[in-house]
Amino acid sequence: MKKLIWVAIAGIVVVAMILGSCGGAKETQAPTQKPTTTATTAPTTSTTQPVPTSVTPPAPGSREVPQYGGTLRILGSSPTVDPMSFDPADWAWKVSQDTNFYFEHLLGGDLDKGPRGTNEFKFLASDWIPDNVVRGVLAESWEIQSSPLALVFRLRKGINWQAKPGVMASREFVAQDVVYSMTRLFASPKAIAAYMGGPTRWEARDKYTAVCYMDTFFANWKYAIGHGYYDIICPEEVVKAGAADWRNATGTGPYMITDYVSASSQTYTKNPNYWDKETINGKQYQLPYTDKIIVLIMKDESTRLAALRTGKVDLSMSTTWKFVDTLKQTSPELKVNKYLGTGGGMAALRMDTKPFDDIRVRRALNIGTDKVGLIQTLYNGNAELLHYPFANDWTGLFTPMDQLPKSAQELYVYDKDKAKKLLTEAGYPTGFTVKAMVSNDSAAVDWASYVAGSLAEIGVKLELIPTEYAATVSAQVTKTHPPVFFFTSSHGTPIAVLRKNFLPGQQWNPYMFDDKWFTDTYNKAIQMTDDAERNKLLKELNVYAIDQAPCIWLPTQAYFCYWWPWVKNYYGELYSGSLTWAPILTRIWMDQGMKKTMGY
Amino acid sequence: MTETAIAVTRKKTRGFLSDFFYRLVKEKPLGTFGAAVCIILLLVGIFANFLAPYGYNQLLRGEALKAPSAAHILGTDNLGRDMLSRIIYGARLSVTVAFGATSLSIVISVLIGLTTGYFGGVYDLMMQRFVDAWMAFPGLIVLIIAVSLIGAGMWQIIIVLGLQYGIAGSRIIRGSVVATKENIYISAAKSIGATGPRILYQHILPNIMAPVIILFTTRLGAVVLAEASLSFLGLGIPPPAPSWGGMLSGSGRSYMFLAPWLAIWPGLALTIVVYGVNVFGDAMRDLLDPRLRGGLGRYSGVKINRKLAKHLKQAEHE
Repeated sequence: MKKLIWVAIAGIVVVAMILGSCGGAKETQAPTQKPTTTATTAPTTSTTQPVPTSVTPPAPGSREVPQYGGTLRILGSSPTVDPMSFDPADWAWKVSQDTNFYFEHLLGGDLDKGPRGTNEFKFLASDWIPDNVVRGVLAESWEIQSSPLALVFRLRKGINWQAKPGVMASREFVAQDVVYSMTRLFASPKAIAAYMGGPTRWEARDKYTAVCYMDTFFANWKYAIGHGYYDIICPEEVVKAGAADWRNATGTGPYMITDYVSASSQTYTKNPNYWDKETINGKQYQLPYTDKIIVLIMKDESTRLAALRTGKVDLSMSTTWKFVDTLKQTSPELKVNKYLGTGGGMAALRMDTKPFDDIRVRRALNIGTDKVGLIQTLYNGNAELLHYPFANDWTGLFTPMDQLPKSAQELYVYDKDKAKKLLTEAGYPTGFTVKAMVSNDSAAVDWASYVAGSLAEIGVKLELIPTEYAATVSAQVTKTHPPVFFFTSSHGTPIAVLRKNFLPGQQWNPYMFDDKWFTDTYNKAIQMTDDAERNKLLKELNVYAIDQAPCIWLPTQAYFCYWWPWVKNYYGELYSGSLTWAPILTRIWMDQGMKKTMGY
Repeated sequence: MTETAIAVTRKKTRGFLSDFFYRLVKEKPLGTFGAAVCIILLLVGIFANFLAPYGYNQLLRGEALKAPSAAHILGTDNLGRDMLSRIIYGARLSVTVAFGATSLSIVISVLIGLTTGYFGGVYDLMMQRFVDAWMAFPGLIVLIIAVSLIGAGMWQIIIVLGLQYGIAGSRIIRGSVVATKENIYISAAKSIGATGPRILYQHILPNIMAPVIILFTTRLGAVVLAEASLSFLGLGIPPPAPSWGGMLSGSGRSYMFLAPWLAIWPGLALTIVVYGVNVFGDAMRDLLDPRLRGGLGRYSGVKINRKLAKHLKQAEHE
């Protein structure tokens, strides 16, 4: 009897499984066919949802008096990526973000012109700072000398390199340090070509004056050698001890790196002799306020969310839309600021290989990708269709969708039939199969899978190759990536974004874009001293690049920056220079009493 | 058992297969469940094109993250793909990898086990030391390293898993071969001039089929789990292939709070399949155990009339 019962149970389970696996097959459709989707309507210029923000610029004189002490734990804008190098001469894009706690730049952004002060600039861009918001950091002042053509930097006096046992004793920061650092940077075999326009020569005119001689004027010099990705000042003693080893690092900055555990965290401990101060309500306060900053690395998004919700993380800069409602319910005290990503995502199409040497094929892949659908599906509407190469808040430079030429606008309108027609004209009536490399984090894989699914409907099959991020960068730099290459790239400045993406041989040019008119026009623009004329050319170059469809242009998603109420003196800013976040984090103080009262 | 009882027993013989399935259903209910799971898995994998309502990477616009409903029995994922279709195509993937890798592993195990067990000597010594070294490495680490070197893809996974389990499983086959080769009929075959390969093929191989079959069925579950583990770690079959492990690792984890069904269905599918395959393998092992052969017992195909035997026994006592 018992055996019969067991057999009966087994039978019921089997039947249930059969019903379950056959359940949806009532009206079986051919697996790869769906009712034909007609072209979408003309693309809207903005699809971003209304911006929630807890950022309220303080009334003059109302800022709280800072407290000293505590440890700030943060998840940054790249919480899954380890430091790629601690040596600026390696020209790794992340070096400024990891080292600017102790290595500083000549220039930076004036945070008092941001939300904490006059609110002229939000400090949400990853690289760009308008000229009126730039301030001197290690340089007190600067000027352009016309004959011979040079940039003259007068340095702040009384700034000291911190002592590091076995590396260097404490000493004053002088002009020779700038000369050494910059000369080494641009002499590096890894230096990016044309980064500073043409060749430069550095000289220490006196103890506190560093001069950069140029052959031709370079309009983007502030970005290249002032507040850019690589121009952090690194002393000779650290280089001799081994700049790539974080244990040898010492600088003039507000913190010192005291620990680094790969794939886990970087710890920065307060420099008690830091030179900078902050003025609050008319009184000056010594920086930094917190004793330590721990930058956490967490590959898994759910883990990051759990860490934020439980107060293990005080500030998380790049939460995605899918956790917004959950956080609203579970942690309503959290403050939030929404911002559009500081760059663009693309699927680069190698223009030096078939079939992407044919613009019709490139246009077909753009038109055959449902980008508006991608915004709705992957980002729940929290994304912008057109935000690259130029950012949509670059007033006077950005061209809105409705002002682009018709041929460029078409690239953003989904039309399967038109895409198939273009492919047929190009000689691919049945489509083709091509390999596509993508970083192996789940968000990137989803993104690429969506594009692959969209393109499958026009007969183009992408064979995705998920690859470790560092390996994708290596492939990108060595130009060994496959014909389709999914990647993201930050904006930089209007000049930098055009250089790094569209000049031949550049690291961030995986499309292998090489256009004589573009290169000639770019070289003309960067030497112009008239801002209005230069901007006109830059605008033209941007539109031209879009129209050439060197990649599948993909939307830029919005992110949410969250922080707990005990994180004080923070107004949602991200950077004051290229991935330069240390000045912002340095000004944060922790209300430890509040944190305890709240039970964390 | 008295002579009378023996005399009245009815001799009823069944074929090997029918006897096997009869005994499976009668004595091994869990094994029956496992067998049903294996059959369903095979059928779903073979007929996935007909069973799945959509393609595995078919994007259904406006249908992202829909909960299970009449329109989508298992819901949809974050890209608007039907979960039922992806689970069904995932079954095909699992079947292909499981049967492919397991078959390859059996071929390797038999080749190594048969030759080392029969020929012995220095060859056996050297090979077994190699197998020792191979088995000393943690299996998953070896798999991760191998996939990192040769890249991810279905055939790469099949080859790597086949090699991994094949070499380790050769021990079991070798043991059976060593036991079998001591039988007198092997000596008899040798004495009449049968060559080594002939003896291996004609006499030894048929007599070790039971452990081979058991090894096959027990390996299936392990291979399915290993493939899911590799996919979970991002080293398995690349997306958008609907690997159950990959579905768990990717959208399953990212959308755990928002859409728990993205993790539940692939997890449940994996659990049922691995459990079913394992219990079927256990049942196979019990039913094919040679120690239970002979006499009036299981393997003889002889049915004993137990009622009559009991009645006669009582009568004897009286």
